Amino acid sequence: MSKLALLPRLHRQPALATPAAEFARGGARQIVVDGLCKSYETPLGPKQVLNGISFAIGPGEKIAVMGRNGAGKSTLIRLIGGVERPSQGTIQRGMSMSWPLALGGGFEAAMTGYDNIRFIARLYNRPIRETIERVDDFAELGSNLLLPVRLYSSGMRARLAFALTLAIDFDCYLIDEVLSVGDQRFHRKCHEALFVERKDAAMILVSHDINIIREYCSIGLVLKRGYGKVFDDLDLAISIYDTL
Amino acid sequence: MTPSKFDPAFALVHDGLDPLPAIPLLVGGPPSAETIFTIHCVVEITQRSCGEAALIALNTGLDGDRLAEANTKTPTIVFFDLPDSAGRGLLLAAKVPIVLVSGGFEQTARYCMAARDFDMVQAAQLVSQSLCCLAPLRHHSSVRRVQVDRTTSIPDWIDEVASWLGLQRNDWQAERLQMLVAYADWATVGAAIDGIVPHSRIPAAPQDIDAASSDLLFNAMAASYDYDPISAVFWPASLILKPNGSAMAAGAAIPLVGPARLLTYGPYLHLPAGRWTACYQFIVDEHPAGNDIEFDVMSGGDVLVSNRVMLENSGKYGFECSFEIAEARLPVQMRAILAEGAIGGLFEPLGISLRRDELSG
Repeated sequence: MSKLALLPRLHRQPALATPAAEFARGGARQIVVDGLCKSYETPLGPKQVLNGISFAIGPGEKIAVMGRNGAGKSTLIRLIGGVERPSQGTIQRGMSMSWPLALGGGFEAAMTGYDNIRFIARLYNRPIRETIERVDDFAELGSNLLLPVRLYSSGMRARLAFALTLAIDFDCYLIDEVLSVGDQRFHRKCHEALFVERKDAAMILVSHDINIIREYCSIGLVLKRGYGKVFDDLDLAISIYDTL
Repeated sequence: MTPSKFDPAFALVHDGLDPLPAIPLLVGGPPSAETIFTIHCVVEITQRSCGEAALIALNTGLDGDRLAEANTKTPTIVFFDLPDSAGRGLLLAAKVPIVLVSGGFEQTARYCMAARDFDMVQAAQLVSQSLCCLAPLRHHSSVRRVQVDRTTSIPDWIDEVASWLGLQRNDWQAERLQMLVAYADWATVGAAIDGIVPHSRIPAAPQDIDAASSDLLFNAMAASYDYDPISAVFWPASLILKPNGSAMAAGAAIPLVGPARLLTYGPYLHLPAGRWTACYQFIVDEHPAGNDIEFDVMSGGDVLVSNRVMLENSGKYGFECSFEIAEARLPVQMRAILAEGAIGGLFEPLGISLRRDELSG
């Protein structure tokens, strides 16, 4: 593949680089989302997906994002992760923040798994060899890392993405139903790595699994028709979500 | 004295019921001091003129059996304050003279609060039930409507009551004089009511905040239920109940944030049978995400109508629906239910207005 062919894709990478760049700049150790709005143009006119979402989390805090399908949960995660830009509002990232787990995109499909790991390691200024070893150890993809990512199944991509996320060691993890992918054994492994080994990390967790939310989160953000409200009382947030 | 003093017409054989020779009079009315005093006088005159008298209540369930049991040699006065449609049918089929005491909502409700230790909502519930159950009897040809005038002299009153029983002065002259002596302490009906019926003295003016709010409530209710026929009713917000059972305070709003749940219910008031249109008036505020609210109307345990509305803008709304009330004795409630979890918003009930579209029952 020519370098020219890669350029347009590389130009998309600032979306992933933004959180890292903001982390490098330092600042308060918290993530502050303020008045976040997102709308998309549709054939029927603009569709407002998020309306004035605001919240803040500090180191080690875990917030559950709950809402019905279409409420704007994944959009919110993509905006916070820098994958998309908000139509309005700001996101201050005072901690290093992962890209959204379970996001299939973000990889260069034409590059091998190894090359993607190297690329991400450079992007986040991590030692390449150590990062490769950690990813290889966790993802258990073996020689498949030598193949272009476009040949991976969705499960393999999820394993690679998850392993990379863990290898980078972020302060805050964006998790969008990642625990629903992979087989049972991998599921348990992710669970252990994320919630036990990184119990001190901050998390923004989108999940429909009330048990996981109840076990690991301390506050809840309930989204309803694009609007959101943060509840310090997690049980109240869950009871609202239960009846949305 | 024997029951034979009664007019033989009382022993008529009539459709659907055996002869009721021992039942000279059916007396009913709202649960007021005036009704109680009237029944008291009817029973006393019967007792003095016949030597004995019994009193039974006709309300609901097995009323036919009660009338049959009452039809013994002992003269028995039947009284009623909450007859359902079957009970009213029995009363009218009996072809026994019926006396219906009139009573206003406010005065009756205040008496119920004092005599039965009711709060104002309970009193309103009972009085509305009674007035709606009695309403179909008001214009029946066999029903004598009586307005108890508190200024009437006792002798005039006793003679009037005796006349309902078919008694002339000559029929019970000695017993009448004895009764007048017994009632000599009271010059008027009003004085006798206050002397005989416990809790009949009702404060003339509100004495505290509760009394003032009950004054407002009962005035509003009187404006609905003292009309004949009862065709336009307004149930103020202070009669609408919150899930904890307490009544809504004036101007109070319910925060909607929280899971789907019952917002308001009640008031368990009553409506005469017929076709009604109700409008639940309320204000919603601060709910940018919109809220789904379900309204339903229940009579007894049956849901008569149920609808859900999505409220996306703040403002004053009215939810209107039509339904059929088959039985006035069953309480009616209109529930407001938050149909899905809410992350914001306020709900303030303003009251429920009802309009009777068709008369029946």
